[in-house]
Amino acid sequence: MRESSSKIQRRPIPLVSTIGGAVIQFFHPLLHFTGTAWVIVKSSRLLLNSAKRRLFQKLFNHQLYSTGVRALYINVVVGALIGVLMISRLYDYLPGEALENQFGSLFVLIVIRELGPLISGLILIARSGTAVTYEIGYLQLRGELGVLRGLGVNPAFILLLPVVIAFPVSLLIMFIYFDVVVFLSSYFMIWLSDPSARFAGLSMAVLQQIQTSELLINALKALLGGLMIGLVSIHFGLKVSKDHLSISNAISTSVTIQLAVFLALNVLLSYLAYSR
Amino acid sequence: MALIVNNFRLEFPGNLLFEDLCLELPTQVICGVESCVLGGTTSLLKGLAGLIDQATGEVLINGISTFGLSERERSQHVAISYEAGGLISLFNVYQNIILPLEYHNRLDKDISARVHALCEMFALDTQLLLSFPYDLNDVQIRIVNLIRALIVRPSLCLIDEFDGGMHEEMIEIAFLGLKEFQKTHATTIIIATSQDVLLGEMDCAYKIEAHKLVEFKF
Repeated sequence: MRESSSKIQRRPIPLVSTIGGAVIQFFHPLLHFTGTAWVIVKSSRLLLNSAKRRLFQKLFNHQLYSTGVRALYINVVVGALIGVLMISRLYDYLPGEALENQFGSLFVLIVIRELGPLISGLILIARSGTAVTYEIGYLQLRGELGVLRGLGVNPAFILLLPVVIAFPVSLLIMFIYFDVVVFLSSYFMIWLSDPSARFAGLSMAVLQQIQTSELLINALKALLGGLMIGLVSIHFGLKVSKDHLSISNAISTSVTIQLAVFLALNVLLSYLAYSR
Repeated sequence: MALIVNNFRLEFPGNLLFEDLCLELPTQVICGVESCVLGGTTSLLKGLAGLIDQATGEVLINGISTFGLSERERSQHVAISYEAGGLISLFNVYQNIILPLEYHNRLDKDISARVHALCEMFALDTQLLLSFPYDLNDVQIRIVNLIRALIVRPSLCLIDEFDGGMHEEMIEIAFLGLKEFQKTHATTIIIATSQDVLLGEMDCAYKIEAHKLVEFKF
């Protein structure tokens, strides 16, 4: 009798623990992610020290070179192909002269506002997001972050902060590469069908259409998108365990989340900024 | 005494490694600790360095506790040379060696000469300075770890499995190198090793028994 009453009394406990467990399980990744971001932000105070700033500058330049500068070739290839494809498809709907007249507004609408940020972000995720998750995961797997702590060196400052700052800067650089290359390849396609088309005229048409809002929104997409890609890459790299499959699992999950969040961010910002 | 350890205790869940461990070492001595597989020597060295949160008690090096050292204090007072790995894969050997000094703005003008002198002392080919950790074999990695530990001129240097994989001649060179280093630097050195012969060469030697350090009898 006493046993059955104690069973009755215990019933709510599994329910509470199940609900509590589910809540913790839901918020734990978010808390972990926030914690990672906080540790990195906190390490940025070391930039006030000039010697550490010099070391940071060296590591940041290296990261920016691998993430932003070395992405030039793939941006050129993708941008050139998109320019060719875009103009060839537009010619199907607009006669030659009409396309040249509308080129400025179409270019801003399609390339500068949407395709530039989107494709550059996808290239950043594919080229550098995966690489950073692997690098950090490898360091984590080999216990090298602990080694740095043992040397009295802040691992967040020398390994993570350069990534978090270089990614938004790289993304902004990639937007510029992409837009310039798409413009050049578009001009080339227009010139092929109409050799009288003037480069300066088309350039001015585009420049006149660019407004401050486009520049601000693109800067915001680069800043938020780059930060998000960098932080997610690092977060999943740090979650790597001793299991040999954990690096590939981390890369896979990291890329999936980066794609979903980056696309959602782009759609949201474009919707908020450009919808009437 | 340079190093004073009082009531050192280290326990992981379900595994008590050390309890009431006490040790006192003067400066400029080389102290050996006999290591055996899963004997806890790596944990002991990391614990003494203040790198394991679960460690309690008191570990003082020249009167300063190794628990809760700031980054800069850690890089000045305690250095640890790891048995395996221990180098940062993203940096080359030279960058790995000078990293703690560069980070704490302690690079001298003669840093390159100091690195080369230590390489010579421990018979490390200076051409390897531009190599990356993955280019090195286990012994070279251990020697680079040792050079990086000594370059900061620490008060306490903890060396894990000093001799693993080394042939006798190399062990002798490295050990003489440590003695040579100690002539000009006030560093207390603790070495974990499984070789009785090497333990016999040291100023004092201990083994782990019943969660404590007891004198090693030859």
